[in-house]
Amino acid sequence: MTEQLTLHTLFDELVTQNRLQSEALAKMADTLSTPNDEISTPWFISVLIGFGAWMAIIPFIGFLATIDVLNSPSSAIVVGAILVIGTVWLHYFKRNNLFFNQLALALNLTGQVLLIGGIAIEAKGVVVPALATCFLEIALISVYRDSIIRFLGVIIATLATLVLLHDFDLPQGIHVLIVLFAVGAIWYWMAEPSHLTNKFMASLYKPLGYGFVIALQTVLLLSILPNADFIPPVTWWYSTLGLMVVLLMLEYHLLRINLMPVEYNLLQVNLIPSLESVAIFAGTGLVALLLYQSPGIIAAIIVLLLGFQRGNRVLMGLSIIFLTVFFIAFYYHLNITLLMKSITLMSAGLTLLILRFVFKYVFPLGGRS
Amino acid sequence: MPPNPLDRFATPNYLYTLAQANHLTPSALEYALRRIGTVPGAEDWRHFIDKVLLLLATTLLLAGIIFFFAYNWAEMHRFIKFAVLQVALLSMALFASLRGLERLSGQAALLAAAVLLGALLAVYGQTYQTGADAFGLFLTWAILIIPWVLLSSFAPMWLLLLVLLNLSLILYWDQVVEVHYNLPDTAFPLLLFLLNAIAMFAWEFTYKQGLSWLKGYWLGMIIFCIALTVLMIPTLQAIIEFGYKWQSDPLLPVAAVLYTGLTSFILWYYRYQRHDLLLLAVSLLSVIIVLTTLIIKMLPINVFTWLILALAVIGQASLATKWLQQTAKTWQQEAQT
Repeated sequence: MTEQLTLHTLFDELVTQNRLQSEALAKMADTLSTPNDEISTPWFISVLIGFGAWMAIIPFIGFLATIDVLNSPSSAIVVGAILVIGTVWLHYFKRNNLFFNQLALALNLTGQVLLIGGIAIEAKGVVVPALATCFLEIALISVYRDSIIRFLGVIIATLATLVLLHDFDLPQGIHVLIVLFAVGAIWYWMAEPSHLTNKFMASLYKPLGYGFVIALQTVLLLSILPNADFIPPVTWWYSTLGLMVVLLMLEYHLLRINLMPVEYNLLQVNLIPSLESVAIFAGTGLVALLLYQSPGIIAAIIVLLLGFQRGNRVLMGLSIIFLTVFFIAFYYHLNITLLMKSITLMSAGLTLLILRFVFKYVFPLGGRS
Repeated sequence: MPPNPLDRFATPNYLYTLAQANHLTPSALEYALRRIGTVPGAEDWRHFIDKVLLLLATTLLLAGIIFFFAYNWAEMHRFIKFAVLQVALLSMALFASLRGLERLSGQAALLAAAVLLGALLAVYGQTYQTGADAFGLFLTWAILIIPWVLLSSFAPMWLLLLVLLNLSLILYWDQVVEVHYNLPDTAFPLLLFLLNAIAMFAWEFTYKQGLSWLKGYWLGMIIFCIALTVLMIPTLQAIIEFGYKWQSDPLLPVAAVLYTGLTSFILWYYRYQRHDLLLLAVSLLSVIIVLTTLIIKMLPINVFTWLILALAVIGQASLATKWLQQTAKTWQQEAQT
């Protein structure tokens, strides 16, 4: 078990190892005396803020409709644009006021609904509003320094992209989107230390990192709705193949960084020999082959590994929820008898038990403890 | 003289703050995160893979066994079905006993035995059609596994017991009470609440004792959310139906009073007695929903109703956020002094 260290002890260790200048300690003490709310706001408070903003959208639209401002699509576009631009301005000038911040958030979301809705009615098609949505979200992610807007921006832009793929009759384009999300999520989370020390990325990586993870899993939910009329036929094993390659690369990276005793001298144990690496890669290939119709499971495994590697319980919780959903859907939709399902499930369970036995007793991971 | 902030225990949040202020390089941050155990080392990875493989394998095997008996294979003689299940159940219980319940493999085996017991009861009901209601199966199953649950010190076993008790109550209400008795509608959610509230208080009591197997915390979170949601539903109904249904369903005001008392207690308890920001946030979210419903009910319908409603929602969310942030800051300061 890891011992509980004080910051002083930890930083002394860093100074000894020339990873930190001893003069920096005084500045660090100053920084910690003035806590930063943005960093210390836990995820569930962000959910509370986001929920409040969403709840306020309907009454705001109701109010605007009652005072007869929204009497045509053009007026909805104008009011929406005013709200979006106005809230960006309000957010900049009233950043430290919690009430104004939340008001700006709710009005911004209301503005987005009106603007996109107005364009959709005016354009009488889906391409223009979907493209407008993508541009709007990219612009807002760049200029509106709010985690909730940035997170929702990724999700809304993803939905708009799906609409575009559908309208352009490019259903297989979804695989490119899925792989891009997986690569993006890995980049955002694995490079967390670099992002945190980068002025541009520091406020951006968390909302976008969570946004990419949720978008990845949400898009893959389409794979478990095979009989829905609005979903065109998609060859889901393309995504499984793409995600398997991404997962193998992630595993390779994880094995590599855990095999660096010089860089991280905490890990001086002789770690995973190449035979185990091969076993892990082969196991991944086998799982992907067995679950070729269910890319969601592979994606959830990617998120689980990311969450564990970064010590991020939110990512791990999300992956467990999605893993459960995809597993249940996988067995529910399999077009075989209960008996065959039972045999498949038991065989998979036994395989995993054998794999555990191998990793524990035949080639113990990280050596015998 | 104020205490030196560097004498605080190292947490990821402090390290992230310092990295964002450019006091730590990426490699120094990564090293520090590994040193305090946030970023796992090789040993942590080994435990993690071991745990994931075991739990996933157990789940798949149990699901496979349940599917197998759900298939109700006609060619298979009933004695073979019983024999297979009983041998599997006994082997799991024996394995758990030999392996020891302090190890994950022993706990997983006992969980498997508890699930197999349910399958055995189901096959019994399937073979000898007794005509008994389904709630009897779940209740018997729940009662029979209680000794194992008490012995196990394993959160999923407690969750299984609670799920079975909830199912028994739901089915009993549906199959017996609704058919034979004429009780007010609100009695059902209140009974469900009572069951889950007892579980919540039991969990809270044992959690406060510092039992190591409850450190995972998620079990309490699940029970808390279920209990609060189950009580919130009749409370919302009481607000919406105020003046219409209160005479015919005298339990509606009881639900509203109970909800008010419980949320006040929760906000006091998790603020002052046991610090828990997440449960406070969940409670405040439910308070916002209830208060917003109350405001909708009370507001006269005119042009400004919508605007007042929107501002009220934002005001409540702002107040809740401010209070939570302030509470977190106070706890931090208390911990430092």
